[in-house]
Amino acid sequence: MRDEATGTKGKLRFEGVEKAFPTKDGEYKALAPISLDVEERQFVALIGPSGSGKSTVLRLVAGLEERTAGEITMDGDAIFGPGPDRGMVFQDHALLPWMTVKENVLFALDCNPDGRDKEEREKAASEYLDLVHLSRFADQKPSQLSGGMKQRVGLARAFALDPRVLLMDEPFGALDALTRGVMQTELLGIWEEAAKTVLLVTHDVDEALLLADRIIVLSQGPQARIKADMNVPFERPRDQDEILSSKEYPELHRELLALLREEIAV
Amino acid sequence: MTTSTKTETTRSGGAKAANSRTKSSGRPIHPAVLFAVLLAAFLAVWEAAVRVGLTSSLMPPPSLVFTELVAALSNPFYIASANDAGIGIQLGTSLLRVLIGFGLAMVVALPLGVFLGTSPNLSKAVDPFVQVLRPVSPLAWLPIGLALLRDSQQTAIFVIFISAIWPMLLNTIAATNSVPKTYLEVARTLKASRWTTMRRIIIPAALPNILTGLRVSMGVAWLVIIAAEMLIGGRGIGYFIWNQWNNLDIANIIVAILLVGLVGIMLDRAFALLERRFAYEG
Repeated sequence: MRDEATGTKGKLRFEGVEKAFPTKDGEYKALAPISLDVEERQFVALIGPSGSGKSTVLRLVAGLEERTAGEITMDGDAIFGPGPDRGMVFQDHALLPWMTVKENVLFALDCNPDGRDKEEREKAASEYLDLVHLSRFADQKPSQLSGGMKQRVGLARAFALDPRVLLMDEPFGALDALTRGVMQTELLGIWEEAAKTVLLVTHDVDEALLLADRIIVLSQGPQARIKADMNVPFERPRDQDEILSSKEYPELHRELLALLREEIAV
Repeated sequence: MTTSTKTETTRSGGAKAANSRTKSSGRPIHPAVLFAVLLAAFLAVWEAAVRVGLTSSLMPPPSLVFTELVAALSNPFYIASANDAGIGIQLGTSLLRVLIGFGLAMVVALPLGVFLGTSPNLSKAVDPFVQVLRPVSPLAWLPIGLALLRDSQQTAIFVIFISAIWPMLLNTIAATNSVPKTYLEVARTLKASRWTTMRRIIIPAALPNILTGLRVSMGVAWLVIIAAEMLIGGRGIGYFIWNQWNNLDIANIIVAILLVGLVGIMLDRAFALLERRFAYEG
């Protein structure tokens, strides 16, 4: 809401971004210089083999890692360190187990009150839990929830700060296929409503095709680079069955798999 | 037809299992019954050994110990003179010393442990001090306490302080040091302040292990107070036991041992409850 005044909402630009990690055997160059423009409200899937540095890209945007070279900007401002303008959904949901479901969402708001008093924050937390259909479980501990429900709390927590960019690191990777499908549909609904820029890291071709506007394929590291940049032509709002039965789907699926297969050295 | 056969098989299988259990270990005996039997047997052997003169003449029979126990518990809180006081007063005095020493140790060890646990380099620098001092019997500190404080009461508390501080310090360092990285990253992405991160992430994440450290410390402190009081004198259950030895009153020593054990269990249970209260399923 805050960002509507400025008219921009999460336009990301990577210019010659590199990332190297120090290791015992010297530097490991995870990313080759990467340049990329992500339009505002675009849903981008980063796909690639494990070790392609797709999570690293995400963590650089989140500010959890520092780039070694280059520049990442959001709406023209360089990114330094984490901030509530970028919401992160962690792979292992990363809920705080000593807090209830509602407290987990409320914690995000407590850290960033933005002028809201306790009562308003409580109300906002309840609204976001409602958004992910978990109001009934507000007072339970995360350990009492199923994997899919936990990740929905993770989504609610990330959405609660109304970030300009949503960063998702294989959010449904740990879920069974059935739950994953339900979660994908749910995310689709929430996202089409909120229309935020999303970077989604995944290794699931179907997930990328179903959710994203654009798929970036990263090559195998070290010095991972952008191997392909593909637009996903399906119209929104999307329907999983329609997409799966469309005539473009098998072709895109095949193309993506072929690109990935080239990168997997067995 | 098929269904009934199936049921039959299951039933006979169940019966077989039950049968084999009966054969191998007999009817299970409730642990409480077993305990009562063992206790009765032990007391009977003890009583008999004393009666027929198998033991030293100082050794009282359990019946005498029981009489003394009843006597001690019937008037536990009397105070006749400095050393002559009820068993409740003696235990209470020791407990108070332990709680003061333990409390002081907490005041030092918990903030220090959290601070060291969140600064890995400093914690490595401090480690040699801890490693050298930790294995030393707290009683070795007693003369230093006397020299520093010139007061036997305060020295007893000082010894408890020293004995209680290590487990809680080490556990607090380890607990804060091993807070899962993801939780800290959550705090970072939410831009939580240092204070909020400490109060709402690091401390609740570390609390179960910190409480385990406190529980161990309390156990050590309750062990050490007896020895410390034997050396220092005055009121307290440790000196009471020493005093009874000087009176050759073994029955009252055994009474004291029983009660020290019971207080120890209660202290341990109290911390176990706290641990359970603040445990979480990651």
